Amino acid sequence: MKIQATRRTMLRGGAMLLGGLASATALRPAQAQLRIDITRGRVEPMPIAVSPFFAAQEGERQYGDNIPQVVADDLERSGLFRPLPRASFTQQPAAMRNTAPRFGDWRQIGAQALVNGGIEIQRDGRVKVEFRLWDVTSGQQQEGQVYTTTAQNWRRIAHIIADAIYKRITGEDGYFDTRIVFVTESGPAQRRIKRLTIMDQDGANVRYLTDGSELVLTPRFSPNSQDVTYLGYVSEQRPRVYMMNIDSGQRAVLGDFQGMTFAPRFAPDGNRVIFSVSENGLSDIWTYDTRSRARQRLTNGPGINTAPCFSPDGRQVVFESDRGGSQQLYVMNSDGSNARRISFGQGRYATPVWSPRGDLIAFTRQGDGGFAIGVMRPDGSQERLLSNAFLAEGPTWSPNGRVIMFFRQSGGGAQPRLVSIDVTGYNEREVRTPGAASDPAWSPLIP
Amino acid sequence: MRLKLVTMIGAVALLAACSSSSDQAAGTAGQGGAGNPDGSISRNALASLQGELSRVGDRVFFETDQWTLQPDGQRTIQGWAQLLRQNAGANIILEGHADERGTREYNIALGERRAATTRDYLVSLGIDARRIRTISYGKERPAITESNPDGWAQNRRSVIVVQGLATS
Amino acid sequence: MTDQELRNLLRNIDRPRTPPPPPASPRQDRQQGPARPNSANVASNPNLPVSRSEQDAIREHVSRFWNVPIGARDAENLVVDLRIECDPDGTVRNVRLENSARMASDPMYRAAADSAMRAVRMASPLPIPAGKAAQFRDFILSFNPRQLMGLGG
Repeated sequence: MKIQATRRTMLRGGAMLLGGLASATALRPAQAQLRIDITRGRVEPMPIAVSPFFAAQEGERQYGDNIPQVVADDLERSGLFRPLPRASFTQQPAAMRNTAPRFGDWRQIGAQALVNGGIEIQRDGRVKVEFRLWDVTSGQQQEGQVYTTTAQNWRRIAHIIADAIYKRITGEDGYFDTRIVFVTESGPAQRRIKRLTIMDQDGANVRYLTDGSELVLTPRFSPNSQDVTYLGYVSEQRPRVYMMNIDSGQRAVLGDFQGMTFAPRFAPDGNRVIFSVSENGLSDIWTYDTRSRARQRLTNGPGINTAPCFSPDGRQVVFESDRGGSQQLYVMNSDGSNARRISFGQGRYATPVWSPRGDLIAFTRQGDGGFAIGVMRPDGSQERLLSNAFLAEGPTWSPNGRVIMFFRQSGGGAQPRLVSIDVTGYNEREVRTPGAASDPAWSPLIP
Repeated sequence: MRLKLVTMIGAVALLAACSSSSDQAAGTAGQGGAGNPDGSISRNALASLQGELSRVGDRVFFETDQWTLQPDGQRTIQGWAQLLRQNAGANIILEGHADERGTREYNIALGERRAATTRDYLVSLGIDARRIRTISYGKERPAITESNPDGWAQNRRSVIVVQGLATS
Repeated sequence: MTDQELRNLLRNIDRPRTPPPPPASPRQDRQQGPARPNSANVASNPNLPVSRSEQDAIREHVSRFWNVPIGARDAENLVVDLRIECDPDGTVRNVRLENSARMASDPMYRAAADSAMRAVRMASPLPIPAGKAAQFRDFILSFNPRQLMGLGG
């Protein structure tokens, strides 16, 4: 909405280059056709060349350099691409301006894909960015788009381009045009200062949503990325679930409950928030409709029922409960019926989060003197642990269900950091934040 | 979207008003305030009560992932009850805390449970429930920062704080 | 490769294993590829069967160029059959997708098909056995990620 990008597909520039390979095929006669199955392959990042974008004018060059750099950095962090160093490129952006790239040159440096493009600052000051993605092995153009936006939005354009490349090559939606809301921590542990913080997925554009005077925990995005819900300790009142509009900073308590409310998360419909309500020491799960103010109780004891999360289709809720004697994961229907336990491994299970794909549930597992982040199928099968630490907690999913972010403390007294890891268990890396950070939540793709 | 939010904020202001009036109806002291809930006890008296509570021990401790009171914890709370009977005008806050060896949300629930258990025992000793508020801090406000079994044992606690005094 | 090994492509720290060694880059593969018989100079006999080990050599060769789209959804539906036309010296003259209609409607399938076609182009020339060029004038390479991805199956 802030970005007024016009996305139009460019003319397919590579058609003529197809000729060599697409020659007519003579069909082979009767004899049983030989068929060889390829069931093994390499699992490694795809070498890709992201060329600087052509920029004729001095004022355009910063975008010509910076946009492809942000694109390359996004792709690199995904672990699925290996951007080649610019120093290895032999063809200049200008040489590809009006003609197809010399694919032999790009094959020579080991590229399998090539991204090039151009920048033009228009008379109204807006920046026009075009890019093309080429399959270097075939010489075909695979993607081509033009975007026009205000100058301060250039990073978003870069992320949108990276998403388009990611989608074309992996087939999955990208996740680069997204944001992270989290808690920035500072000060001594006994009087920890916590601030709601929002930033782009790559750590740029950090903005603080609260000033640190109040304790804030567990922020989560609304499905339209416009609001966050979180647990707030306001003056001497009991802790309660709040909702804040990110742009305006306006906030409101959700629901009129006697007890403490906590562990909030939006329902996929964006209207309801699901959270725990604590009364007389017992915690149960409720939903609250932010429009109609209707509330519905989903659990009724015994013990602690918390950390609820809807399935992406809204039909089920995964949550943690100690009803069986220890903290374990349960799935119930969204009306509260048919609760069944799904975690049966060693230790205690917590913070279940349903993948946006619906195929997995990420969780925190505690045992053996440490914490681990893992995933399992919604029926509890195929449990895998991805990462462990002195403290590792609070997974959140990239909107395409491919990457999990969580926070980690490497030892007692160590500062918490955000960490991302591919759902396959590879490509673990720290996420750039301005300081100690915890409780990350990943936004959906920005509308 | 904009319209929806404005509507929501309006609704909430209304709810907040309801909520504080129901607190009054339930007889608890006003939120915060200078500490003279019924006019019969001065701030000095409150401070002196907090001092006496500290002498008998202003906190009780729990086993890992447990919320039942230990015998020595019960004795401590009996001491609180005696002091509260002598200072009938004082209201209190019971804070529930957990150690760092648990997840954030579970620990908030666990801290609430510890505070509730402590309150229930005080009530069983004859203290009016309307004088007591509970609040859970989960693992957010450790007393001890050492990450070892001794430190954790001291952080699994309920703490009594006299209302109207600045809380930690 | 056993099912267990295939599943292990997904990392599980509960079951420690050493990560797979980083494969050589395609360029190196090309230079260090297995020595091929100079099949172009041998008379081709279309009736000779292609032996298991000859198939394995091609399988082995192409596998080194195939970047598996691991983690993809519905991996069981991502089998890509490519119709290959080879010159007698193993040079891939034409690659065609058997089910090209799906390219337009299914981005996952399109990505899987692209990855398979890239593999074949990079793997050219293929190590086709001497005297059997006729059998490779038109044959099928079937790229099957099903077993490689515990996520989808």
